[in-house]
Amino acid sequence: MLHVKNLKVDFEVDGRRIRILHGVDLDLEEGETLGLVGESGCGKSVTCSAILRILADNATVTGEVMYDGTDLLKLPASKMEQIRGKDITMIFQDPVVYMNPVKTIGNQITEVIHLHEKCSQAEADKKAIDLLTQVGIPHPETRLKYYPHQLSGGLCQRVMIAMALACKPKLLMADEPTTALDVTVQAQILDLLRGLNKKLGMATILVTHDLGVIAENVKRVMVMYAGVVVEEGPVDIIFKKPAHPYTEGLLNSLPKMDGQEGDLIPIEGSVPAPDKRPQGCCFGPRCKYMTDECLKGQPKLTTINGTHRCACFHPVNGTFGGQE
Amino acid sequence: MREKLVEAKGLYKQYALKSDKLFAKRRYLKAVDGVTFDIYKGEFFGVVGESGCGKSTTAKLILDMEHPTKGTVLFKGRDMSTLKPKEWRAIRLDMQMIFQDPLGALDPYMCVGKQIMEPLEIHNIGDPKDRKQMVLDMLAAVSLKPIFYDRYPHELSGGQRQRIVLARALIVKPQLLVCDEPISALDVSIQAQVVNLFKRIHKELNLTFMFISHDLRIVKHVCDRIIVMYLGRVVEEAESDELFANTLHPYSQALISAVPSLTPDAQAKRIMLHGDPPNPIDLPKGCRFASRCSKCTPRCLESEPELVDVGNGHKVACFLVTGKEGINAR
Amino acid sequence: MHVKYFLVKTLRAFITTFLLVVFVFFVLRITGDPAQAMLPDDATEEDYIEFRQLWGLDKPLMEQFYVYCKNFLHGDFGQSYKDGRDVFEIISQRLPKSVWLMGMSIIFSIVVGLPLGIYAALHRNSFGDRFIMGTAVFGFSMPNFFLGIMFILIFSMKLHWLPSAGSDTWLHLLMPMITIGMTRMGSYARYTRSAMLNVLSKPYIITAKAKGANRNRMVYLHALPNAAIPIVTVIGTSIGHMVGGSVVIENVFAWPGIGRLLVSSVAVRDLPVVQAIVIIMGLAMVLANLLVDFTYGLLDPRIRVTAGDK
Repeated sequence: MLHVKNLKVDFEVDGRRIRILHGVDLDLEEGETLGLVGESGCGKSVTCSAILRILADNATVTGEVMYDGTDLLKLPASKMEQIRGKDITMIFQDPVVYMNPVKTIGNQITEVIHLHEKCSQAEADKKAIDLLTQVGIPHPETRLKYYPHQLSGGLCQRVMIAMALACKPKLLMADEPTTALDVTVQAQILDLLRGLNKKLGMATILVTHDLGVIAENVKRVMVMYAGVVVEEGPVDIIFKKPAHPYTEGLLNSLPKMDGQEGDLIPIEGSVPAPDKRPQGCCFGPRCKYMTDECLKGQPKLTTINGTHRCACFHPVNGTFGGQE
Repeated sequence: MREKLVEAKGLYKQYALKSDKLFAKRRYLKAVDGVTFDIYKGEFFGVVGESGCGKSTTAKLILDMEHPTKGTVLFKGRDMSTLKPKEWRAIRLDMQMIFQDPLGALDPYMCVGKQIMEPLEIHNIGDPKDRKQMVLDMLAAVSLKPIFYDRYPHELSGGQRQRIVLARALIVKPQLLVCDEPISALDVSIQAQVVNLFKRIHKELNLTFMFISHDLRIVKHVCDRIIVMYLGRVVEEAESDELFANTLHPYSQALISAVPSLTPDAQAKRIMLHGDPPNPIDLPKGCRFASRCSKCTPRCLESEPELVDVGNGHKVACFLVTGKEGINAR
Repeated sequence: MHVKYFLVKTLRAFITTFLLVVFVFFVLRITGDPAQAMLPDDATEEDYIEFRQLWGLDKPLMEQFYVYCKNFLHGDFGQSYKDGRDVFEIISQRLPKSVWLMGMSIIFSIVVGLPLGIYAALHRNSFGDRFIMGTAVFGFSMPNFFLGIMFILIFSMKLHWLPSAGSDTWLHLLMPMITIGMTRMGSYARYTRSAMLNVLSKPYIITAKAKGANRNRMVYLHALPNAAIPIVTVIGTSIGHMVGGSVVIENVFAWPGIGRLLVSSVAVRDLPVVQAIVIIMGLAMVLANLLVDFTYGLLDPRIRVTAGDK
């Protein structure tokens, strides 16, 4: 359904052109769940925004984004507007600031409906009430007149999900949807998303930095670092036997809920600034297995086993902290 | 008998709210609604809870940044509210605080070395000639090279900034360090670095920590003793291992089970909470967790359970566990 | 829900007006003796006494104030010292002209300034943006009387296109309206630009885009209602400046409004007239600000409706 090839994104800042995304490939079938995980600056959010073409005007996107046979990057603006909110939708982090403060939530939901379907205000309102019920908001009729600042973070995120589902999209991209929410609310929201994914057969791309969230909510994951995909494959394989040193390091640096004595094993150093990328492999300077070979260039994704791929000159046979 | 560094006794803090109705009755937001706990010297004390539970307000009350509506805070046995300004300043030097946003905590126009030196200048600590060396020693203690002295905050990464904030707090050699979500804004791989640093400082300086966080994974890893807060009250208190091995309060159980985990069956065992927490302005009668608790009984709706010790320093506020009733303070 | 907000604002408006009246009354009397200004130099002592008795100026100040307030509430503003005519009548002849000029000037500033600001924001850093902002700075840096005189020189004296005095036709309105409006237009354009730029960078604009909204929708239906809030505030505060500026401009263009009347009455110390005009001008500002407060409450639900239901 979605085939992204060699997606590159540059930003123009103060007259300089800085590359944020260095050629990302992504394939997604109908109804599939895919996770994008990585830390700040890895490009996971930019990837989703680039697919939907909602990046700022100073961004240049190159490559191919094939959706149902059409290259989205080559579509004229008006056609792209028809796809956004209808076929492909997105929800964001911190829902309260991502909603218009001077419009009621009813208005914001019916707006999506009116943009893509022809119906009367009364019909749209009814649909909005149905959607609010679907996302588990009590007393939906009264809530239609509420403003975003009157709702809690969890409720706002449910409203955003309702907006995203209004036109029955084929793909939902969720950019850190629960990072700004409490952990019990996060559990509710993720549970809701999982249920909707199953019920509606909608494909989901879940972007987060939390490996636990990935482990519980998606089948396949792409690990990103500094604008590059460093590992991808089925979640249960990658998290048990990571092949890329970064994935291994990430897993080992997490405190676990099920007992671990001693210090955490951090990854030394920090993520390089986009305009100060190291020579060769982008993870090289922080990698404990680095050799001279790693300075040659950025390694490409190679198959380890089936759909498990890794971008490393000498992938590790990682065990994640000895925990099983 | 371990020495108590901080004693919070029956703390209440409420804020009066403005209403947009003409003749409405005065409503109050009860941010902290009856909190009692002790922090022992040398302890790594954790406070967990979700937004609105009152943990940040509690921290402010402990640090005497806000005055409690009711209740007292004792630091080293002395009641903070009875101190004269000079004594207060002296005692306050023993408590330091670091927050979630290190960039916001640093002055963008001053080099970080000078910012670390500032507390020494303000409190007239040490010989002016020696102060720069004290700063450099502090930078080394937080694993930063001396070259960082002249850097500015915007030139540093999030983890480095947090270390600077920590250095600035530690340079006055406090006895208590209150950390309010100190690593939430940092990348995951950096969090590990900073957490290890905290542990090392805790051991080397025998520093008492009050560590406030919503991230249970980190809290489990570093804290010795933990309290769980919900809507302004402590619902459970226990040693860290005991709390996670033998969670008693239904809210704590739900909270811990909600943490996304890499173990495969965690999702199946998850306790889902329904709905949102009730409004802290109009709290219902009875246990404040009753509306979301799967084990709620009629008694739970009538009166509020008190925090009771069930052995080993493990305290719970729940009828189903303790059977003990509290005085209905409303 | 909203009632309390609006009532409080209205109450404040009343209090402000009252304070205004008190202030005007006492200041005018403390600063000079009307008798001396009105009577010719060779007037005798008896003339002074007679004058004062006639106008009640020999009574104690507080009593004069009490009498004034009583009359004020009945719509009686006294008589002019100059010619004895009823002040209310004098003013009501000229007030409509001033209101007309002020009103048109404000509309002009808004109608020209806001779209220019929006255009500048949407075409940031382009030639158009820079040109508009440059003109805006010119607009509010230039002293308005200078601009007025320049206009007269060019359009009346050189080109003979427009009349330079009076208020009979539409053509008479053009120059004074543009002169007063120019300054405000410049600042409205600047504020609109920055408010729009600020709002266009907010996250909810991205959400609108992700929903499939086109550019116009994002700008006019999502951004503008939010940008309107600070813009309305700016418009409100600037009305005061305009009222002050109108006094000068009415004199430059010999526009028969209360601004001109004010100047001529001050010169002869015609107390009742001056008093009434100053109070009316103050009242205009109070009303304008009240209107802004109301509009503000209507535009921003966060002010009208508290978050109490979370």
